Amino acid sequence: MPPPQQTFQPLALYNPALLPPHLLLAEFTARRPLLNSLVDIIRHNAPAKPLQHALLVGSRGMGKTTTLWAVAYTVKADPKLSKQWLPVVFDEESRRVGDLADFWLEALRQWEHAANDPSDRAQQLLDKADANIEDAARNDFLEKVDRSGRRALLLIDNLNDLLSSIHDPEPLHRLRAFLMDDPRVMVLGTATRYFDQITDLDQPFYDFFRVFDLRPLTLEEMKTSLLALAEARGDKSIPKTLEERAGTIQGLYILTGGNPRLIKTFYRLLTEGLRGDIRTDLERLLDEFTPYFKAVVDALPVQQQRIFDAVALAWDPVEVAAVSRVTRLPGNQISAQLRALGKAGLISEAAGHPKRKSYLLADRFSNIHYLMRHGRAARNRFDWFVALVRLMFPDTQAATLARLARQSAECGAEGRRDAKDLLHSALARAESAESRRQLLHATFRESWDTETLASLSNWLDLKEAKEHMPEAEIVAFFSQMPRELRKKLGYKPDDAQWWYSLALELEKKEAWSLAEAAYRKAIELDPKSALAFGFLAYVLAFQLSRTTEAEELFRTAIEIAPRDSYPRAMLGLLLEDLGRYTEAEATLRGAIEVEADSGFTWYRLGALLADHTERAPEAEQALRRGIQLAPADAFPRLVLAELLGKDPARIPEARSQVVKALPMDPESEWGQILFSELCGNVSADWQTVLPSLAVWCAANPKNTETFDFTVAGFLQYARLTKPADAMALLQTLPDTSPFETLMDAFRAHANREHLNRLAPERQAVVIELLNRLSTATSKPSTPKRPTGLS
Amino acid sequence: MKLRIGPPVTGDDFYPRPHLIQTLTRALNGGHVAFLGPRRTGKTSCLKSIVADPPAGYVPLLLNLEKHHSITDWLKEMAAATRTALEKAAPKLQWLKDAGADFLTRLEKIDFHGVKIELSGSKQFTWRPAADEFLNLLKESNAPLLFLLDEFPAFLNLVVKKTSRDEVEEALNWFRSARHELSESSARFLVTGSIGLKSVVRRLGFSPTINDFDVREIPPLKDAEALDLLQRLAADNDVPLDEPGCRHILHLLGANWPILLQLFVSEIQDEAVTKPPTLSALDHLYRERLVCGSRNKYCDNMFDRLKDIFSESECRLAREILRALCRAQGPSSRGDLEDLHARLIPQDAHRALLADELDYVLDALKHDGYLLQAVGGEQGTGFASHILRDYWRRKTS
Repeated sequence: MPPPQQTFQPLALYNPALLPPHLLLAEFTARRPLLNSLVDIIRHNAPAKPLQHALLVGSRGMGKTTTLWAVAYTVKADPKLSKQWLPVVFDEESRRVGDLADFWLEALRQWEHAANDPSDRAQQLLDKADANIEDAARNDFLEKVDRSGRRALLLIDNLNDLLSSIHDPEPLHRLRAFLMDDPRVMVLGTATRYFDQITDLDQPFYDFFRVFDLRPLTLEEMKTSLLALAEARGDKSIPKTLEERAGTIQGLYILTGGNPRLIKTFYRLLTEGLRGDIRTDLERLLDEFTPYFKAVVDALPVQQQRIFDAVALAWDPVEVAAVSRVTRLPGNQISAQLRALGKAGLISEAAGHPKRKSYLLADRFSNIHYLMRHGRAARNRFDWFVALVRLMFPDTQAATLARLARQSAECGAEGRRDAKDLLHSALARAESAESRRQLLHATFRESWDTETLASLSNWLDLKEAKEHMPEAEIVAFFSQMPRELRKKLGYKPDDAQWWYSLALELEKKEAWSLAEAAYRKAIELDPKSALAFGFLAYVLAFQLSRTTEAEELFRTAIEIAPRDSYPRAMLGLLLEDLGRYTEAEATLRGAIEVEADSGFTWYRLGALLADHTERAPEAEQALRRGIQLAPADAFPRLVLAELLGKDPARIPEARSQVVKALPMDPESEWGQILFSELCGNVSADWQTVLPSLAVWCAANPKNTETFDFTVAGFLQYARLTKPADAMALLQTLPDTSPFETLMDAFRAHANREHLNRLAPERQAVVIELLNRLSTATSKPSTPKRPTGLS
Repeated sequence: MKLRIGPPVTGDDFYPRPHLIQTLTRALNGGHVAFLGPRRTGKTSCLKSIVADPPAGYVPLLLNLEKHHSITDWLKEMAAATRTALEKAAPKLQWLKDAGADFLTRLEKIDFHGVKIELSGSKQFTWRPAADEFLNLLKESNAPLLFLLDEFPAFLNLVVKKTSRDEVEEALNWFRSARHELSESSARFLVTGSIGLKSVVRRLGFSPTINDFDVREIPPLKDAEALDLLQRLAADNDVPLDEPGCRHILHLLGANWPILLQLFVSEIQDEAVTKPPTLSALDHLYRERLVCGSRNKYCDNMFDRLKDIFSESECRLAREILRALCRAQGPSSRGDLEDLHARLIPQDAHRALLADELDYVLDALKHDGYLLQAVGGEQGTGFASHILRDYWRRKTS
């Protein structure tokens, strides 16, 4: 019966003994040929021959311990081999061996453990304290081996440590002689590196073992390994990932350097994904790599730690002189310590000139780990997180990082700081300008219609963002805009119309420079947009006083859309502003030619003729045509009123136009002044306009000028009639609240006692109004026509 | 023939070396032999082959002495091994039938135990009476015993370390006289070991105690043998390797030591290739795995240890020799090496004071596996393998 699927099994990154045999062997695919070779050696180690002993050499995480366990399980599972051999796995970090006696005692203990023999012979020997305990332990061990009818397959992790702990060469010679001659004990050991005991010609174990280098897995082996992991754990996503995300897998391969333990670490990340909480993801990556690494570094002598630190932080290969500068240690000491660190497998020489050696951390992920933990600036922590995300999610890296940043930004002030650091790192580490832009767009898109955008400046360095994406400022401006508006607009930075819409919104906010930038962006995406050219020219001409550029842009718009009257009309206005009246008239007439029904163009022509020619009838005709076509516009009526008002006979006509115009545009100062001049002493005209003005004031409480004009109007109306009439007019309003004080003034005018009912502050204002009521109105200033479109 | 790297090989795994074995047995017929050669060149395997197929009329006894650190232990093991061999051996030998029982009886009576005592100001070692008695027994019985003493130099080092230099001196002197006394008898000694015997005794200052040995050096395989070995290894270990590939391997290695051939085949095996590797693939393997790869650590050690095994002046000479030879187009003659020595020490008088320096350095370099001296022709000297030579070139560039 096949074993049940172990989807919940731990990955056992550091302790493969935790894995059940069937799962370990099922996942043990990439190094299967090695396993076969080792088992083959065991099989051919006949009892009558000197045994072939073997050694696996590989850096940490290369699968040495896993291979030992795979050998043990394979031998146990093989009916023939299991009759001949009992695999005895020594503890990985056994610190019990200090001499050869300890070795045999440990062999005894481990044999008993493997054979389920509870006798604890080692302890008995220790209690007995025999002077010749080495011989006794060896003999007892061999006796047990003989009695079992099998031979001992000693699987010894970190054999280099074990041999190093036996300092005396004599017992090492004795051990070698034993292993050379006695066919009952085979050793399969591991080491993180080639070590003196096997490479030194003068050492007993020189070239004694058949050495197998545990080299990094190839890309294909890594894929096989991931598939085996997934299959053994019932994970269906990995085959799909391998198929669809070739870039991810290639990147993963580069990062892990084919190290099986790291591949397992990232397998977890691939299957579980990023959690969105940057801190957690970051910590998880670090913590999974920390246990042995920290211990290894901590165990170094202080001076070696300093040198290790300098090499690790340099990241790139570094020469002795550079380490010397940083640590302020003499070069000869550094060279000696680098040699020691090299022997310990922590530092390796970089390829390069043999006479100018440079050094780097042997394990590259350790270096990344170190930089993440100890990088000078805290934000450096995110550099490697960003690198990891890039490698893990190359196709969606921008979106992934943006999502993580947004999610982090939603987690309070600390989260916003993390998001800012993350985005900073991501921008700094991006491989191209285009990928920076993609990241920023992804960031804006991610938060565009969320409330998170409102705090954008707290979690994105806008200055930095603008360096990489100039239009970032425009988009960022919308963090101040209502979320609903953003939702309505959506985030479509590739769409010219979208930028055009943004520009319009920006114009509403009088953010002229940003509006200009938005129009330019729209033009960049759609160079044939006459509307965008025209509106951009408009902003430049009438808001930013850049008339030369504006004229050119209007003309471009006309060229693109010769049948569009708008740019022609606007150019006409600009030319009028520039005092080029003849050109202006021709241009406006040109606009009328392409669109005869544009009220705007007609009345602007009328205004031009009225203001700058002696052709009043023509002007009046054009204005009336404009009013007819755009009856809701106040401007042509006011111009016409002004024109008619020059002729005393036509003043009533002029008044009529003003009375109609003022409610259409109550805040027009020109309209107010013109009204005061033409209608100021006519109570009927006031009676007509005041209710509309009052309603407008109630709706626009911030406009104090129009409010003042309206209040002055009611006072004038009161003077022209009676305060009670003004009071009565006020009372017809749907909302009188803005005019309560004025009403109090009228009430007090009727009954002075009313003053005593008012609070002192209001009382003062009412008294002032009463004073103004009793004095004659001052003559309104000369009406002043605003220029252009103001 | 399975790939065996590290342990001595026996039986089918041993590539037969009849000519070498014959040379050794012939030499043993005439006297006692020091079987010398660098580490990992197959000396112990040859001894095991002699044990498996002993010369006619001899009882071979192979003793690995590296597990001992006292002369008493050595003598005891010789006695014990003799007893075991004689008890176990089928009495094919006429001598066994005639004198075996009596020999064993007398052997039983020899007491090898004792402690060191001082007599009249001179040192007397407690093992000496037993040793003399054992020698007498061998001489008187004319026992045709062939003592193959493996790791003899390492044993001497251990005795010095654990007991005393005096004890070694005494033992070497006794051993020399024993060889002399046994020259007319049947018993023979062959000493060998993984570290240089001459270097060890020279360092101890006892060179004369071994100069009576008939020195035989282990040579590499001949090209035809090496080719045959490669092909057998490939075939028996499922390693795809064609003849051009085999020949190219020989060309790359430059010295046909069985261990190097085995290593090369094992590297190909580790690559898990399914087709015979091309010549350029073999070049790559040689360069990346044997010269610059992990085996580079062995070469590093060979480079570094010179200062440990030689005096300052010897070390300088050794380095100059190696530096010159790694760039030489072919083997260098004795004259070339003497010229090199003369360049280093121009004054004749000064050089004369160091008369044996060149010989000693060359001898040590040969026995430690740096250099190889051709047997025939001009007996030129070159690097023991191209692996080390190419490493040396890189290192001293």
